[in-house]
Amino acid sequence: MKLVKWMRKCSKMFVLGLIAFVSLIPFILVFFTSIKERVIALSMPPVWFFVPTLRNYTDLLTNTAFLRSVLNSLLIASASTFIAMIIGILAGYGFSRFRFKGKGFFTYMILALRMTPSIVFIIPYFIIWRTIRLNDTHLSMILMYLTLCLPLIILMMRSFVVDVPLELEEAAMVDGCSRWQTLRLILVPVLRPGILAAATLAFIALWNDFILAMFNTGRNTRTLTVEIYTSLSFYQIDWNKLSTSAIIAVIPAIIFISLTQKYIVRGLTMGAIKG
Amino acid sequence: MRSVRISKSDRAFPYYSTLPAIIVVFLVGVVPTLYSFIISLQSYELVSPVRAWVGLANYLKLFHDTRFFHAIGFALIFGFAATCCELVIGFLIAYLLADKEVPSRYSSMIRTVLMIPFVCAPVVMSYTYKTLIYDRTFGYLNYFLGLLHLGSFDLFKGSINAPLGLLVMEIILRTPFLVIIMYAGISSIDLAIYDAAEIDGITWLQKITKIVIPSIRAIILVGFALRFMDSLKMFDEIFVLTAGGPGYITENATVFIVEQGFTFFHMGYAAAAAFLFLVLVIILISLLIRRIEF
Repeated sequence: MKLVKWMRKCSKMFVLGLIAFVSLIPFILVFFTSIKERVIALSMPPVWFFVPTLRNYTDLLTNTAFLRSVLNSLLIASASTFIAMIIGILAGYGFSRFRFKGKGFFTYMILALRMTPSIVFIIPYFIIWRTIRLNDTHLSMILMYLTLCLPLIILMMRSFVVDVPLELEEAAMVDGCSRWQTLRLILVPVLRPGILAAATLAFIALWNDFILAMFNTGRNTRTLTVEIYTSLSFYQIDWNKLSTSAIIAVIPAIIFISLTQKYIVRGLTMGAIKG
Repeated sequence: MRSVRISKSDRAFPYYSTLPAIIVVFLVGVVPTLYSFIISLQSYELVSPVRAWVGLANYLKLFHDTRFFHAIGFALIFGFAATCCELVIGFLIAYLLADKEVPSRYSSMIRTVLMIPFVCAPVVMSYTYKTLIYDRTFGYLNYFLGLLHLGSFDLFKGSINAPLGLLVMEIILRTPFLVIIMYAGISSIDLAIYDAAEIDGITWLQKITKIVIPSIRAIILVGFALRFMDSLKMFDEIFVLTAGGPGYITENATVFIVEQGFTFFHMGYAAAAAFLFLVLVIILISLLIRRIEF
């Protein structure tokens, strides 16, 4: 009886391990390709035993176009996230604590903006930036990315604020804080983990975005995803470069997500679910 | 909804605090959409400077474009199929992860591993699949199929391979999202309910259909809505993996619009298609929103 139970437990663990392995297969392949010499990277049947090399990494990290695109991505995504956070914390507070005219409509608008396909914005923005001569500037990308991250952040912050007990604010206001002071001195410190989670998810969404960047960046503002796409299309099968840049592109996302695991579930569903 | 009694000096605060958001949403969201509608009423070619008002001609042309209807249909069918597969597979994995017999540390390790695919840029992952896995001569898929004498898989052969390849990739990349949110729901079900049900002699199938699914119904609905809307507007994966090919079998609405606007430079026509697509999306959002409390 004990043996049957033990076998059942082991088989469940084995199935889960197998699932995790399947979802990791591409990463394992990418990692091994990134540390192979160029000559053997493409050989089929694959070479399983080889001397690992870091040449692909040093090649890529001395490539100025690549480094520049990493900087562009960092700058654009963090600036846009920062602006959206300031607006989003304020709006999240306003939307969750007060009733006012037009609130239902604006909530609907923000939700609709979250689900609106990016393609709807690409054509008008493409023409607008050219008309006002802002094409290929960081500012244009930062503004455009607000459409992606602002609704995300407002919806998340709204749900995090609802959870903070009202008494906390009342106590502060009895002591003579104004609304603004209450928000700044009481709520923001309490909400810090939620703020971090919201910022993380927004940053990752922008860092990974391809469609908006593809048609609206130029020589100066090319982001990492576009740089990877264009450089690979030119030199069709540079698999070393593909794998190495894939590894580098994924690093910030993994770092950020491991920092804010706890609030991620709430954030992922924009507060619709309490995890 | 709770609300605080508002003192006089703070009466305007709700407006101060939400005004920046409302202005920004209006400027970056509503204005471009309206401008897009204006463009859709024009004959606007990127290569020629002449812009002429043509009224609804672009829309009339779209209604006779079978390729457009195919693209919308493909987006809907593919999105629905992918979301349903992901929900079923995701539920089973989440159920297994929350199983009492699986040690909690092991389960949390598996969840961390599953997080990795969805924080990766889809465009990079699609490239990886296109080259390292699906490539006909150098891909590992065909290498292993060859070892097992199972023939070979060519993404661009026949009309079923390309959608199938996309579907498998989409499921592997996107299911973890659903696993993680459904796991949160299943693991928060009160254990006393299971104990009570076991005394009543419940089977494992009844346990799933009568206890687990009703308890996480809200999560399933939210997960469905988010995944369905996102796969409807999917672009990176298709653009990189098949570019809509072979022919235009795997072309969805987004790829169609990009093709019209940035390959053929028919900006007005593409804007009209985008606007119609937006109308469809808004109708779907309104239908979904009634069932879900966001």
